[in-house]
Amino acid sequence: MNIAHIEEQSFIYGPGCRFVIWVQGCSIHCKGCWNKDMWSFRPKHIFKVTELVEKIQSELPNIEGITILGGEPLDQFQEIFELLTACKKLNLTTMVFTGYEMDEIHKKSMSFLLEVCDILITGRYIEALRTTHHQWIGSTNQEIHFLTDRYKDFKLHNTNYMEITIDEMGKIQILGFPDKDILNKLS
Amino acid sequence: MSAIVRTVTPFLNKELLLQALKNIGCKYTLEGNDILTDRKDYYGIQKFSFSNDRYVFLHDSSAEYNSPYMNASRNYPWGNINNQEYKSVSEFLQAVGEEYEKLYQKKLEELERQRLEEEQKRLEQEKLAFIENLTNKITQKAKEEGYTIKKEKVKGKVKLVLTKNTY
Repeated sequence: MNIAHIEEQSFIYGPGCRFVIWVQGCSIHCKGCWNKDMWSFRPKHIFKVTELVEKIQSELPNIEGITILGGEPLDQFQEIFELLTACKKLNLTTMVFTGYEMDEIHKKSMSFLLEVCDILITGRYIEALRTTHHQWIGSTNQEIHFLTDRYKDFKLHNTNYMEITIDEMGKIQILGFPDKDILNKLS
Repeated sequence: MSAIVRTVTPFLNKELLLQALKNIGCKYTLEGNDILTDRKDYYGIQKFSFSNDRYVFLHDSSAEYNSPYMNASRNYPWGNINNQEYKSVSEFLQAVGEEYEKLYQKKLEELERQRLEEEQKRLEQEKLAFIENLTNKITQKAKEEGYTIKKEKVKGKVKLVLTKNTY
């Protein structure tokens, strides 16, 4: 798999503490995308699915699930499917952000993704509909699908989420859905 | 013909000198600034006495048999009153000196190790203080912007999870 970034324990991409993977490569190219550096399919960090599963296992029991975003996860569909299937076997919950619409997923014969995914977020990012006020989505057209009962009681909030990591050397990483202003104010 | 003249090791440090004596098996007692050894000669106990900036070994100079005259027989003028294996003063002082130098080197190494440890500790504390200050600053600014902050520690990193209800 071609991977852009991994956050081994994150708290803002889905319920609870999660292993988060940003895939490298996107064929959709939404205008105004926040992660244009993840469009290229040039290899960045290459992992076998089994290697990723090992990494994920090493985070147990601190994580309750994994989240995949990118880039476009479904551009590496076969590997994503294998990874999600393996995570399900570990009793982890799974969540995927895709730029595809639900009907496109069906048309592209990728419906069996839905069998291994607890939460799926679909839809292009539309710059004009950009939001930092909704949990998990980047533009208001995007849809959140709870595909299993695992999170049937989960309540979505109109909340802006950010995660700031300060590493051992004092370097700062900001993840999430920040307003441009807030980045300037905090950094 | 050339002469070789050697002086004995200057014993500057009492702690090292005592340890050196102990290591070579010389018993001693302390009396004021003097270190009385278990060696004796005609005038009594041979001792180290602090004089000016160092410990000087006081002994009857004629007890030293390391002279051309005495070397011939290696007979000690007062018999076997030295009960150590160091039969002569010079041999004794050489043994003490060698041990003292070894201990001195060890001490230097120990001090260097301690200095490095302290420097390492200081650097680490400086960095931790920087990170704590940075964390507090970001937390404060985020609060001012209306965020609720939850602090987590993950693998040595500080994670601040910021949430703000928008409506």
